[in-house]
Amino acid sequence: MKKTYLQITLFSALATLMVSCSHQNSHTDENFQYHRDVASGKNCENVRNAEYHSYFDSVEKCLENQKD
Amino acid sequence: MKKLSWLLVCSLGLFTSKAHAFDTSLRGFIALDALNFEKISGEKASSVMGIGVLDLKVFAQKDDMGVAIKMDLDGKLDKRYNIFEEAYVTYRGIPDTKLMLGKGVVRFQNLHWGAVVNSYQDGGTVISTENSFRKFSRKAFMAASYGSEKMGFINQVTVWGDSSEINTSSSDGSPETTMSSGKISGYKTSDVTAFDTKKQIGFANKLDLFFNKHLKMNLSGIYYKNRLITRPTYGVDVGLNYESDKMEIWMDALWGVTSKLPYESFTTYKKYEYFMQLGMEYFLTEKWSVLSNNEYLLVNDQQYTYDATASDNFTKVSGNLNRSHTYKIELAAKYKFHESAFVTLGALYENKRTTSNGVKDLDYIRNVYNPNTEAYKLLSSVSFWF
Repeated sequence: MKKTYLQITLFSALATLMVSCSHQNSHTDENFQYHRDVASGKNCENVRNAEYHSYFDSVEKCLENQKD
Repeated sequence: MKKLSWLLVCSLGLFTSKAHAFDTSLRGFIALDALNFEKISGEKASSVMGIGVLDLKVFAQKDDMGVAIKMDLDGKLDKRYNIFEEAYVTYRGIPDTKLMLGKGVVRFQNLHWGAVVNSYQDGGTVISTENSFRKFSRKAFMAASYGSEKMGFINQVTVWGDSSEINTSSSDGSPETTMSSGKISGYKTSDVTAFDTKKQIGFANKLDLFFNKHLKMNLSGIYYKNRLITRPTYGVDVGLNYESDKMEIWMDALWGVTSKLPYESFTTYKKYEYFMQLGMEYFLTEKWSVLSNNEYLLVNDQQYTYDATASDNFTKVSGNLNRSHTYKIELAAKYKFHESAFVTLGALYENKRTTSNGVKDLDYIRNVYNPNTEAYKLLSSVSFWF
């Protein structure tokens, strides 16, 4: 049982380390901030907030256009 | 245990080497009914206050892949999977093409909120309407769209199925029924995340035409077949939208035919419905606008003729033909007090006239709620977008 707990702890620590390392991007990447802005929807904040049924469609379209 | 350990290590290695963060965006819409006053003829007037609409949608995108999850926080959450109104993935790796798979809305009608309440197509009524064609939401679907606004058109084809299926007997394939006080009261159903094409299948096509940056039109068709019933459900929809800095005009017209099983909820042997919506918003200033929305619904509902000797709850109903005319007129003023928020003050008048086998002015008609009545509503609401 002790061995099992130790193994689980080691795996969890290893997983955390490997996942966080794989997510590191260079902050000097000139497109990094742009992608962050797109992700946060900052460039799509002025989507026309007029109509309930089309609002989420408009946001989705804006985010897709930003990606393009 | 050793083998499992190595397997886990290898899996972790593979997974993390391919792991990438998705760009995510959380959006939402809240409409709060500040103070509404409703009066249905023959009933006491009432004041209504509370959450009108509450939706959250998460978008995640990476390269050509996307995921969207919409949570219906104001819906019936006691039903399995109901919290997820939409949950689908998209792929846009092919130019001007979008592939979608998951659960969500089947694109068919030109849905548009009214001035004070939602459209009849999405439950926006004080009196209660008899239409079966509503927003086709929470459907399991697979869709492909081709085109763009630049090309002047987008066409979307959808294959879809309901998220609830009637259980059938393994011996003869007949639907399993539920009993109440020794009589048939309905069907046994299962909530499913993926539909079985042996039991049901639906198709829809929506063609959006962009004439210029102001004017858009849609031509749509839909078809649904439950294999337990010989008569299909089908319909066509035509819509128009005009948008400019000064005004917005919306129009929708729908014709549909519905058939259901005899013991389903809101059952019908065959129902023909005609729907028309015409609305406009005029922007007086940057902050103030006035709105008008008008809708009309004509429903011809041929009810089932039940066997008088059958052990069910419907033996008293015998092939009634119910014909109902329902219309509403909405007027409102909207004040945009913030970039993402506005206040709406408005009024609604609604009227419903139903005949059963040609007989008018009945106070009670089986399976028809408020058959002959009218209603008024005064509304003040605050809406937030984020």
